[in-house]
Order: sequence, then C-alpha cells, then structure tokens
Amino acid sequence: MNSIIVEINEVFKDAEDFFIEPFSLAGEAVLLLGLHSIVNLIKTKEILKKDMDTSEVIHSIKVKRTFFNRKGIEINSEEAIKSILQGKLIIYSKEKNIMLLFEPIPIELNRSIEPPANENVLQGPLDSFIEDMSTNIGIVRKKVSSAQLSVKTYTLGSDQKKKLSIVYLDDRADKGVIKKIISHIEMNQHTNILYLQHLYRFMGMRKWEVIPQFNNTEMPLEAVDGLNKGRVILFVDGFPFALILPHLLWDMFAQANDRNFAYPIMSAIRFLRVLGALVTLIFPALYVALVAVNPEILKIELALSIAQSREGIPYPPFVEITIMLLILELIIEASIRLPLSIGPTVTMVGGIVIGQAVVDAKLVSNLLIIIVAATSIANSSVVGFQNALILRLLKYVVVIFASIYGVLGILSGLVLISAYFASREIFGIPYTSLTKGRGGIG
Amino acid sequence: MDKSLQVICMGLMSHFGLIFFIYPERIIASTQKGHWEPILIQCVIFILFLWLYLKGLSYFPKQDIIGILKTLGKAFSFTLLFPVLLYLIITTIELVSAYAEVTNIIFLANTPTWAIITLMILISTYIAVKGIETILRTALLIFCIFFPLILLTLLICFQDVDWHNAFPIMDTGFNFFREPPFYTSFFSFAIVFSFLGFIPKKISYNSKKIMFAVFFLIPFFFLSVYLPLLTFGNETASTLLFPFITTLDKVQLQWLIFDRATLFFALSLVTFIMLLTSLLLWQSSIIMSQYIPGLKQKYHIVVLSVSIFIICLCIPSWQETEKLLWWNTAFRFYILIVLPLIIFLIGVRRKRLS
Repeated sequence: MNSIIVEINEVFKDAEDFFIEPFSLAGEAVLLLGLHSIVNLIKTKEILKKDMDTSEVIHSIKVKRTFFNRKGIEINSEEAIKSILQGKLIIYSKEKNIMLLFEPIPIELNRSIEPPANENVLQGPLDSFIEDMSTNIGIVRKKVSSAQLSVKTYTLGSDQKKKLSIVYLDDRADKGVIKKIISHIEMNQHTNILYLQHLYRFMGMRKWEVIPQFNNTEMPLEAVDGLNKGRVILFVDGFPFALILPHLLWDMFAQANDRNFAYPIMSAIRFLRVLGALVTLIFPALYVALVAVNPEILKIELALSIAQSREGIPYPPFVEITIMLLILELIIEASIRLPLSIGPTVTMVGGIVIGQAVVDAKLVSNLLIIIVAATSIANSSVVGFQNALILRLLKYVVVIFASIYGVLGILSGLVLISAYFASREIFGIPYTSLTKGRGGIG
Repeated sequence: MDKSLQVICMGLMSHFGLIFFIYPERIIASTQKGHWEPILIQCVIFILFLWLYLKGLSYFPKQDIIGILKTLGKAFSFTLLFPVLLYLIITTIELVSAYAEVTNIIFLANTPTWAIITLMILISTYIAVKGIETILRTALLIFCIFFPLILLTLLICFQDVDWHNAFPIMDTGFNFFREPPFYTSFFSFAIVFSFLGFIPKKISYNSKKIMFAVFFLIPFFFLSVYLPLLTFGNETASTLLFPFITTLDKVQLQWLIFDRATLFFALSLVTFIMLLTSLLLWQSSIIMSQYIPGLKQKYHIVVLSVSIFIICLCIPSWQETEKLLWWNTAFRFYILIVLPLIIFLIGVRRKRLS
C-alpha cells in the first residue's frame, strides 16, 4: 500500500467509521476514502458509477480524463485528512498515485427548516435557521437575492475544525467593520470555537462583559433586516442562529417583524417594550426604596396598607426581595431545563403554591408578589433572550443601590447603567447608536 | 458625525440641574418686584457671550480651546487657563457638597452626607474616566428617560398658580444690581457650555442648533422663579430656602399614588448634576494633563475626584457652601465673560492676519 494511504490510515486507526473501499472507475482501480458516519457511500457509489457508465458509451478514454480533470482537485495527505473530517470523499488512483477530492452525497444529519423555537413570531415568516451553515446561507440568499451579497467562509480551529461564514451586503456594510472582523478571524485561525464564548473572546470582548458583541437571532427575517441596515452576519457551523454584528441597544426594543404592522401600532409595541425594560429595572428597586428608605413619598393610606401587609415580616425589604427574585430566577432556570411536560408543573408550584405559602408564612408581603410577577412579565417583553438576560442581571444593581439610597439610588443606578451602555463600543460603533434606516449604522 | 443632539442634551440637562435648586431663591432675594428684569438681563448676557464663544471657536475648526490659547505661548496660555481650572474644581466641590447637602436636608434625612457625596463622586468619576463620548451619550439616554418626567411635573405645578402674584411687574429702580444674590445667581449660567471649547474636533456640533436650544432653555429660568412666586406670593416665597421644591411639594394629585412626586423630579435633577460633575472632572483633567504631562488622563481624574471628595468632607454645612458660592463670583465672570471675549478676539485677529 502506498505511503500516503498508510499515513491516513494511521490517523484514523481508532475511527471505526473510517473506510477504505476498493472501487473501479471507468475500468480504473481506485480506493475510496471517507467516513461512514457522514458519507452516504451507497448512493455516492451509484452516482459515480452512473456518471462513468453513461460517459463510457460515448468515449471511454476521453471521459476518463475528463472525470479526473473536472471533478477532482489534486490534494496532499494533510489536506485529505482535513477534507475527510469535513465529510468529503477522497478518490485515490493507484495507477497515477494521486488523490482527488469528491463531493459525496451526505448522510442527512440536519433537521428540516421549522418555525423558530425560542423566539415567537406573530403574523410573520415562520422559518428559522438550523444547525447546518450552508442551509442557513441558502435561506438568506433566497430572501436577499442580490448580487451584492458577499459570503466569505473560513475554517477555524487547530484540532477541531469549525466553519465560520461572514455574510454582508457589499454596498451597504461598513467597510471598516468588515475589515476588523476579518482581521480578527485571520489572527485567530487556530482557536477552537466550541462555544460562542470562544467567539466573543477572539473578537476582542472582555471576559466580564455583560453586553455581547452579537445579536443572536433564529429568524431569517431579522438577519436579512440586519443585512439591509448594513450589518454583518456571522454563521457558525452547528449553531442554529445568525449572529448579527454589531449588536446595538435598540435591538432590545425593535424587531424587523414589527414593520409588518401599521406604523402607529409598531410605535406602540416598541414603546411598550421600552416601558417593559424600565419596569424591570425600576419596580423591584422602587419597592425596596419605598418601604425601607423613602416611605414618606407614598400617600399615607397606601403607606399604611403596605406597612400592614408587611406586618410580622422579620427582615428588611432588601432581603425579602432578594429571596423572591432568586426563587423566580430558579423557576425560570428550572423550566428551561426540565422536559416540556414537567415545566408547567414547576411554574404552577412556583407561582401558586410557593407564592401563596410564602405570603401565608409571613415571609414576604402580598405587594412584593405583585412586584415580582410584574417584573418577570415585563422582563420578557424585550426582544431577544440575551437582552432579557442583560436586564435580569442589571436589575440587581439597581436594587442594591435602592436599598442604600432609596429613590436617589434608583436614579443613580439608572445613570450608572446608562453610562455603562454608553461606554460600550462594538467594533468602533457605539452600543447606544440607532440604526438610521437604510444604508448605515450609526 | 453631527453630535449636536447629544451636546444639546448635555447642556440642557446640566442647566436644569442648576436652575431649579438655588437659582429661584437667589433671584427672589435680589429683588422685591419685577423679577423678570434680572432674569432677562442675565439671559441676554448669557446668550451674547455664548454666541461670542461659539463664534470665536468657529474661527478654529481644527483646534480646541487649549490649542487656541497655546498659540499665545505656553506660559501665557497657562495664566489664562489657570482661573478656568480653578473655577472648574471649585464648582465641582460646590456642586457635590451643595447637592449632597440639599438631598440630605430635603429627602434623605437619615442618610449621612458623606454617603451621598461618595455616591455622587463615584458615579461621576466612573463616567468621566470613560471619556467625553460616553458622557455625551449618557446624557442623551438620561435625557430620554427623565425629561418627560420633568416636563410633566412642571405642567402639574400650574394648578396652584395665582396670576395676581406677578404684580408689581415693573421695577424702575434696578436695585438688584446692588444685591450679592444677583451675582451669585449667575452660577446657573456660567459653567455649562464652556465644555464646547474642550471637546475634540472629531465630535462635531452645529453652533446654530445650540443657540436655538439655548432659547428653548430661557423659559425654564423664568418658570423656576415665577412658579413659586405665583403660587406663594413674593412675601412668602422670599422666606423659603428652596422655593421651587416647596412649590412642587404643595401640589396634591388625587390620582397619583405618591404624596411627594417632587422627590422624583428633584432627584433626577441631582442625577443631572452627577453628569455635569463628570463633565467638569473631564474638563479639568484635560487642562491638567496639558500642563502636568506623563500621567494618563484617567489618573488625573481619579486624583482630582479623591481630592474633591476629601475637601467636600471638610465642608461642614450649607452656610459654608453658600460662602464658597460668593467667593467664586470673580472666577464665574471670568469664565462667563472674559474667556469668550479672549477666544473671540484671538479668532478675529487670526482672521485679519490671514
């Protein structure tokens, strides 16, 4: 056996799904190399055979040459190993001692295009991205159909290869941003990207950053909208969403699908989301501030009724609200983790049983239950799960400030959060900037 | 890119912060009748010199104020900028201690003053360290959140107004020129827009839009004085320490769950002051880093805020803060009148020479 084949065989010696299959192409003995688990060998062989058979009738010698010239790219052993891992078929010709690359019929490992699972659309397109990158790019291409659509694909990682594609509209996207992204990618070609955190890191994000650089979306409509606004999309193989870059504050409140409604309705919906974000940040803190620090600003009747509902509760409002908020976070985490059939049970137990019992046991006040419920509802009104997460975390900052400084603490907390948002720049574009219609970010 | 909107928001907010606490009390103390006269005179002076300042700066499209003054020689420019630096620092001290004191008196009786000072300085330093762009962007965000609240509160105040209290309208004696409160009340005009000279030229703004926004600001000066006057009458209003806040406190609304909605209004003004303080810190650090090189700008800011924090702790009471306001008057007129004039004259001379 040839040394190249031995070398490849050595690399895959522990992989039982690796095959070296003798085959004859137009009368010439060849070896087929690939992985059973991702190559549909039977169908691929059929295609190869069919291709040869029909051609053979016409002119066997000529076709033999054409086959090798047209479909094959000559490669060395290193490239061969890489290609095998990517699901390609290697055809090794013993006679000529060359290896050729062939695109086989893959084993179908992807789910079909389905409605989005984590984001809901109301009266809009119902498709969503899937794990397979080329399908995702296909979906985008179908929706954009413009010659300006640029797609650049890179293979990253030292031992675990992962494909990453950059998609943008040439005439709209910011050239500086694209240049920066590409230089980041080229600089970090050997970094393994197993999780998005790796991607964040190599795009230059600090470890303790709350705001991510990318806006993850499952919905092609959003991605296409981003493209039209001059943003850049990244697709990573195996991740069923598009990473829209840069991610701006306004993405928390605006969704492309809103534009499918009349303008006043769209504005009202977006206003509601802004309100939701503010309620999330302010409400729990306001409770702490009003009960613990500034009770005098409430009307006396209300202040008394709150005091009454807090009667017998042994600890300060800050502890009270922290307990309830933490229980709420646990319920949210648990209902994500649990199977669909048990999820509602947790919600019911959490919402009704604990809620009621905790009030009866005089651990927290009635009003607090209302506040906590309102907060969690408001929290979910913003667009995108990651944006909701940012707010979920930041509300604690405001609560801590409020427990020390009362209403002043709430307002300073808001200033601090605004300043934090304002200080962030993503590839030179301020996080707080608005996208102004077509053509530009900024 | 045009950042006029951010610049305007910053300017307006800082002025709001300065107008509603101390200004009405000063004006009411300076005259018995015809309060609009001192306000109008101050506004005219303010607009005139702001226009001169902007005009002067527009002669130098590529330089900030330090660059402009440096053309006169390093030592001379230092002499000109030193009063500015001093005023900036003293004003920061005044602002922090005065507003901490006010907050302590009116809203947070149980919180010690030092805790409020700590909060104000910490937040201001954080924002200032992040740089001017962050300051301006924060201004826009905060403006969007708080400004509707402030407008609403101002509108609500009109429910207790008695228009007869505006009389007598005329004051022919112009006695207010002899009153110190008239001069200290320039406090609300002087400092804010001086930052226009300091912002780097890559942040561009439109002078015309800024002048337009300043005209939008004028009614608020009148409102801040006339709302307490019309509500309480001159005799009562002149006895109050914070006439405007008291006016707000008097407002009763059946439909609101809050008894003292003032708190939100007044405390959002305090947050505006935090932002102004961060701007002043940033401005001072720019001047300092020019003349004490070798230290990064953010360390200048940190050193400054720590020293300001210590000085603020040493100021024992509201009376001392008021004294500081009076001592600072000369510098105030320097930054309000002399500095714009100098910039304007250098600009005109430069234009003639070329």
